[in-house]
Amino acid sequence: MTVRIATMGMAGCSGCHIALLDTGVELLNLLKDVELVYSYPIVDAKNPIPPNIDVALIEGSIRTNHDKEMAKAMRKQAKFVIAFGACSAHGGVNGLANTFDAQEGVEYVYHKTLLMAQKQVPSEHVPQILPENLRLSDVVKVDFIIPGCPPHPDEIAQIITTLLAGETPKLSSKSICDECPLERLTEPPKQLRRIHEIPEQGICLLSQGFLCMGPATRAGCGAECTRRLMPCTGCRGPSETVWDQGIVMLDALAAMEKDEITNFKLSRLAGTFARYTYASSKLDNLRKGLKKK
Amino acid sequence: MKIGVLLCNCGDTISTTLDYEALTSFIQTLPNVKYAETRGDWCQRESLQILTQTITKKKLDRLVIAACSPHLFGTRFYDAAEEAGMTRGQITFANIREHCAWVHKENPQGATAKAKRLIRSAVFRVAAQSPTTTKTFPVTQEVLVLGAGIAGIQAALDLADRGIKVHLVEKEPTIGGHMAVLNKTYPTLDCSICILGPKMAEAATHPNIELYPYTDLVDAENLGKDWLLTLNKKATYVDWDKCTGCMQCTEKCPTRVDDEWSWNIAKRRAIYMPFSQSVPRKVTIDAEHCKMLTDGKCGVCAKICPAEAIDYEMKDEIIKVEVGCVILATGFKEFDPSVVPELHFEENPDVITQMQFIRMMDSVGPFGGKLEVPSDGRKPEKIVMLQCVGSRDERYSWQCSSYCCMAAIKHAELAKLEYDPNIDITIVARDIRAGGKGFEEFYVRARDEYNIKVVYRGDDLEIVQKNGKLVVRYSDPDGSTKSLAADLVVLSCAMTPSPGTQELANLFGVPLGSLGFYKALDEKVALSRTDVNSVYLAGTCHGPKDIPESVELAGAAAEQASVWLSTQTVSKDLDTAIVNTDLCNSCGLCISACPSQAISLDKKNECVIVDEVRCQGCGECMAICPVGAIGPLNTNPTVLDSALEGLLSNSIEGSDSVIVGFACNECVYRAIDEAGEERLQYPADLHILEVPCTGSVSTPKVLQTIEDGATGVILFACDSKLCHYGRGARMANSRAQVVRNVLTQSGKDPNLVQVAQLIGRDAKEFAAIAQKAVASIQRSNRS
Repeated sequence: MTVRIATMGMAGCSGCHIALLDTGVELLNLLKDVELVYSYPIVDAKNPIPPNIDVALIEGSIRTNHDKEMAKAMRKQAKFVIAFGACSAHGGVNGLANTFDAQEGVEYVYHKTLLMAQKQVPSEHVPQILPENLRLSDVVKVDFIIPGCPPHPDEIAQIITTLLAGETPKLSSKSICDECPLERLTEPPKQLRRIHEIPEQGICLLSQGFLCMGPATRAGCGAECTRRLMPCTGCRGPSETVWDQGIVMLDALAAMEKDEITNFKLSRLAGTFARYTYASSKLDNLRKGLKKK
Repeated sequence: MKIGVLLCNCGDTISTTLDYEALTSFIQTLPNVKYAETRGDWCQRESLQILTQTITKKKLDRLVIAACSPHLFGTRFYDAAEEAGMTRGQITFANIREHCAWVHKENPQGATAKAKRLIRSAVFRVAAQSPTTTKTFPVTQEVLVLGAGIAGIQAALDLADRGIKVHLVEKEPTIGGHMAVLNKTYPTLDCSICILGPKMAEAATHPNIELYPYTDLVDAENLGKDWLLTLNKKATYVDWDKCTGCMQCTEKCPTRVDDEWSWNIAKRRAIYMPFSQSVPRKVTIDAEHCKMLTDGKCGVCAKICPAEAIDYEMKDEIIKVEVGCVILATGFKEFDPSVVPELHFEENPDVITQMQFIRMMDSVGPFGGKLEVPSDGRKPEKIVMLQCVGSRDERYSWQCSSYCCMAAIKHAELAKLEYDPNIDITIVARDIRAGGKGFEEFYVRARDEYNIKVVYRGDDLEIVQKNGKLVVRYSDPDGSTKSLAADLVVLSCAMTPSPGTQELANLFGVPLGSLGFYKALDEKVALSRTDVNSVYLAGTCHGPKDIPESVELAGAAAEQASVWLSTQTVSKDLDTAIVNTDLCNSCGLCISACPSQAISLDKKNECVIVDEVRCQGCGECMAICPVGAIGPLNTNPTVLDSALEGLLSNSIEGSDSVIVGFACNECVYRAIDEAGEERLQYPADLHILEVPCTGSVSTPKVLQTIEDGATGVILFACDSKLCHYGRGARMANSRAQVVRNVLTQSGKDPNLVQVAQLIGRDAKEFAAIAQKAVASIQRSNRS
């Protein structure tokens, strides 16, 4: 029996779909057991969503009322919905837009930017922007997430294979450090360093003063970045027992008395410590909590 | 789980404020409470026996004691419960007396509601706690005594005579301290060095004493059972094994510098022996002034030394010593009168201090015992002594320095006895304090037999120059202004803490009192003990004292140290950090945060492991761990969350605002206890939640507390220099800034979170801070 899979793209860059295609030979193996019944980012055709979908992979965050409606429509037809990638799972980089007012953003784009200057904000035949950038689980029930920006092709293949075997996939509950081969941190860094500086080989990047989100970020990617001496930016979101990915790292640096970071502005704070998770972070919650009041 | 709750009304001293009927019925509603009883005397023997029996009979496995501070009778309850097989980890206290009933006397309704929350918090918390195990570790049977003045020497000798190995460390090239250069002692006018000299010699030769002259203590690491101390043996540039103390070098050395052993009124050479009775009797080169060492030009001493002992290449030497306990005997420093503007100390060479005066009169001192006016060398005919310089003066210290009245009288008598009975000496005093044995007779004799005049003054005092002569102007108690002409003015200066006291206090975690001397554990009954149970105090480092008092305290310190060592082992209730190996990712953040170097990576780098001897259970690891994988056994994240839930969940009538005050269980908790004892009132909104160290409260924990409904949070930290765990208080401060910044950035009022630093155990300061912080939180909640 073939499994009916659908994919869909919301506010995002289609990078997750590229990662899906990047599973390579594994994809060909999968396709033996899979029928791709709906996937406009890949097949470039917008048909109505077919019924009886077994698994739906939804990429991108919920930015417009169209995204929201499509997500709901897909949920109706699909037995198992996967938030596919950082935007869908945690709000993604798009979520940083929540540090600004949505309408002001629209005004800015259509009136201030060079190409769009003096243009009218389109109101017909286009979806309306929502006041907040949301993750998928804010609008529909999500059964599983595949984290990452983009998700690792090996992990995508492995998760789909597990699903095809009729089992429930599991994400690693650990953090990046668990998979990182670098020598561990034992002392607070002497000073913070910028991303363009060149790290020493083989030693924990955080201990060298680079802002590595590894300790608070969910493992499963094999620490691909840090083993190549690129600090982890936290694209896989918080690991299982982390209260808030950004705030715990902020806390760790504060405890190490790195005074530079204690007075960060929200835009920088969010962009650095909650780059992929701001829309689902405690930082955003605090801000929203105020709005409601 | 079967929880027992002991509710105590403290013989009615609590129940006048708290509604015990309401509390009793409230306790019945709490989960897992299988036994609750109210008594007025839970701390008494009969009641404690009932407790032991009840635990066994009712098969209780958790206990909440809602009574006074655990710092008061905690051990009694522990003992009674342990007798029934319970461990400390199964017991928690709800401090409804010092933290509640006594401090909210005018708000019985609020106090009762607060007591309910405190008890609920304790019940929730104890349910999440785990039994502890006790382990014992052997203590190294050695003591380090820091400072070798009379107090340090006495303590060292007392211990060494008992067969305990002592490391006696002195920063100067000689031992002996101030007493060695006092000339005579009051009230008997015995020769000071004649009493001290034999003790110095004995200390230097005692088989159980290892002497480290000219050595600084540079680091102290608490190993849990022992102290690992790092000493820097400073280079003397003289091989002391060869030096015979012949002093030929000190005669030929061309460099003259101010002599610190005569308080800079005389000169010494760059190669010198502090005084002629120095022990060890060796010379030292003052590297700062020696021409050979600074410019590479001279070398006279090397040429002249018959023993070829001079070694310009000598280096400092680092020595590590592990000892079971430490006695601080770091002494005092004479107050510097140049900071008192009206005395014009630096402008007038003929205004000197008592230390300078006694050095001048010492027959074997740098002046050979000539009493002369420094500016022109003539014999002084009129001497005026001024008392209370730097003491009993709010600008510097409100305390009486206690030794100076007798010292002034002693020096006045010596001048009359040994130089000229006709010298006119007047002591200008606020009072004469002569409380010690033989002191009054000594004073009366000076006044009546030797005609030493004593006049009394009010607050005003000034030294002026009139026609090239010194005149002391002072206000008489009757209000009039009086003047005294003088050839020589001698200032009786206060004792101040010796330089480096603050740094040592930081290293050992011993708090300082408000005058900057070390603070005793209890100023009445535990004078030689400190908050740290293997660090003791001897002599004037604890505060101004004369010789007998210093010696007495030294003896007490030696006694305490030997009691500590005689137990042979340190029992440690293992409330040490536990690692959840399933969660740990071995990121190493906890290793960087641990102040005790107790955490390391396991062999496979898969998780961290904790050395339970070193771990002090401070919880800094818990705060920094991003995934909640580590924390002290009974202050772990789950326990803290349960305690918070107990404080914050469900509303309680009469209490709609809960401000959570995280307080470190060391100094701050005791300050809060003392506020209770002094009945200092503050708002009942403030609920204290004790943590091992405020550095164990993370940014997420503070934000979560607010998210869970707290009106505000106050982080009560120690003074950052005095944190028992080193960085804890600074971490708390730094985190509070982050929290406040996050709140500001999210458009919230940062004042919801307050951070306060308490110096020492100051109850008044705590109450003032609490009131201010609570008011600030309430303001920001209203707006």
